[in-house]
Amino acid sequence: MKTLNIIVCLKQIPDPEGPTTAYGVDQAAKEMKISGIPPVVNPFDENALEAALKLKDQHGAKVTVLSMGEKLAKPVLIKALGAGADDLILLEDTGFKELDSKSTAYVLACAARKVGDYDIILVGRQAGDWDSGQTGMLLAGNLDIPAISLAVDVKVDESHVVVRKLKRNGHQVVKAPMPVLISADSQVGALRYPSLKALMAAKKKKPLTWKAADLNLDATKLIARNLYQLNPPPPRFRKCVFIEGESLQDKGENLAARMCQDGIL
Amino acid sequence: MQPKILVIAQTEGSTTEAVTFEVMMAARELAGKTSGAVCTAVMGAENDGPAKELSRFSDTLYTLESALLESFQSELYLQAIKQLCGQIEPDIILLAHNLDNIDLAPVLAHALDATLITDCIALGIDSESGNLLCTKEVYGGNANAVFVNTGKPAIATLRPKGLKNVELPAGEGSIQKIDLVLEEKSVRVEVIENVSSQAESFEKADVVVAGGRGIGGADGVLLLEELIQALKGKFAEVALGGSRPAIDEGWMPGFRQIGLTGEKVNPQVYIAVGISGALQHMTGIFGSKKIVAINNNAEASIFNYADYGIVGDYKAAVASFTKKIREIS
Ligand SMILES: Cc1cc2nc3c(=O)[nH]c(=O)nc-3n(C[C@H](O)[C@H](O)[C@H](O)COP(=O)(O)OP(=O)(O)OC[C@H]3O[C@@H](n4cnc5c(N)ncnc54)[C@H](O)[C@@H]3O)c2cc1C
Ligand SMILES: Nc1ncnc2c1ncn2[C@@H]1O[C@H](COP(=O)(O)O)[C@@H](O)[C@H]1O
Repeated sequence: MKTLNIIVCLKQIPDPEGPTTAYGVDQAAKEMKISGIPPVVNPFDENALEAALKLKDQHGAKVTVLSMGEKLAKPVLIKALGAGADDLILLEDTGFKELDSKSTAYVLACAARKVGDYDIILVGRQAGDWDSGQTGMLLAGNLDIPAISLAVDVKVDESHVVVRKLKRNGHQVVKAPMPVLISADSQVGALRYPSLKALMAAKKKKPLTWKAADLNLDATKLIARNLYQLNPPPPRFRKCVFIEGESLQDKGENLAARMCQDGIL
Repeated sequence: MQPKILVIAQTEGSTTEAVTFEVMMAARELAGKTSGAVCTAVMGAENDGPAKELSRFSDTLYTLESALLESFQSELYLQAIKQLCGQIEPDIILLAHNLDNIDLAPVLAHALDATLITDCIALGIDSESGNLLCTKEVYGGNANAVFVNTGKPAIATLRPKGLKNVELPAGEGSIQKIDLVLEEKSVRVEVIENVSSQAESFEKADVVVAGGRGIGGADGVLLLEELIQALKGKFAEVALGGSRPAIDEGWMPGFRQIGLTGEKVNPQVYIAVGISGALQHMTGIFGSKKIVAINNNAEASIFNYADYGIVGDYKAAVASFTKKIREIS
């Protein structure tokens, strides 16, 4: 069997678990105003990378990471190399600002073609910024390859992948020929920690940067997200009654008593 | 513009899934605002039951029947919907946001060169342009975005709200059978095995007891189950739920996940045990009348959203809470 070529698409986003106070909305500009939290790799994309690295452990593989954005923070993506990815390609261009899902998929498709000879493309099921959850399937459409969504386990069997995927009432095992696109759910497993040594080595590697002009793409197809409004969320804080007591046992009993008194129990 | 709105129904054999009624209601509302027409597509091996039921909401109901459509397969469903769309040319297509359609909706959008907005919580029409407006939570619930969907057609998936009862309109619409030519040969993703168990739904739950990473393991789930048993002395329906780590760690099956990428629940009481209160979890539970939080970190953000809180290790607190509920039952 030839060496597997795997592409993993990592999106850089503001930490989706950052405190809500870090997230503001500029309604006039229809822009998010995010401050005081670091960029991270979208968590589901870390799962996608882990799925790729597991295949690399089993079969040997070349893992190429693609990340597209207007401006990318390299240190965040270097972690992918430290964890075991072989190449990092930054798709960076002022023209890539706030693209809609369709255009994002188009750019990623152009880049995947340029990487060439891929067997598996792994993406996350959803990016935690715009929570769009469709770029992967659109990318597969662009490349006219089969797509499997919501993977929890990925195996390679000669020229095919065998994937266990989420269904509401359990799982489904499906099989598809390579090249194939697979979107990862968190059940695939958390990304391994890079060793300090690997991280140091990764820092010495130079990522490639491809601009729009390097990708043989039609710039008229790059369209920004079409927002009518961007609004702050409705107020959701409640006034919490903290239940007191001498011991935790007391607190538990007092909670039941209080909820009973308030007509809830 | 009087848009033709196509709803892709969600059915399971001879029954219509509850979420379909929510999507039908949204379609009817849009049609009302625009004097548009609602068409519904039912897909399956044998559609008589759902077709009759759903025709009440529809100006025209299309039944797409084939043994190949018996259970969901994205590529075959796509072929069927594409053929229908070729005939009726809808302006808007609405689907439920569920696991199957996370797969199907983008593939459909690509095939029709349409534009898709996923997981919408409200729909509207821009009075000037006539375009579909799709409201959805973004940044995990840190903002609400209203997108202009200029797609031809414009596609949206709608977030299930877990509504309890939707009233069926009276009467029946016309039912039309669509002749399909499905090509099994071109299917690239082959189903090898289904590993299914019974998945409960949260629609009827009066109380949800949910565990997070803080319950530490499957043993923690046993403690929560005792609490659930005690609560069943007071409430008709009490369900177990979890945050994502509780599912990823394998302490609970996937259908119990609550939150942005899980279920949305609206019980009378939601009891969150060992859950920190990340917005991606909370967005699934804001419909709860009362929220109770038990967490050993007084600074945990869950307390901002809770009506009642206990700060401390959950084990002792849950055990005595359970005992006291039994006493007062
Ligand atoms: C795009 C996206 C989608 C997501 N979708 C979902 C979703 O659908 N559902 C979901 O739940 N999450 C979702 N998440 C993940 C979410 O952001 C959080 O990571 C997750 O909800 C955290 O779960 P948790 O509160 O159980 O764990 P943690 O955040 O680790 O919190 C554990 C809590 O338990 C407390 N604790 C620890 N020990 C004890 C003890 N002995 N007694 C009492 N308390 C204790 C701790 O103080 C802490 O507050 C999503 C994330 C992203 C980016
Ligand atoms: N700008 C990007 N760069 C790299 N990968 C991306 C980008 N945008 C989306 N993706 C991939 O597509 C998946 C789904 O994204 P989305 O449709 O935005 O929720 C993500 O989890 C990534 O794997």
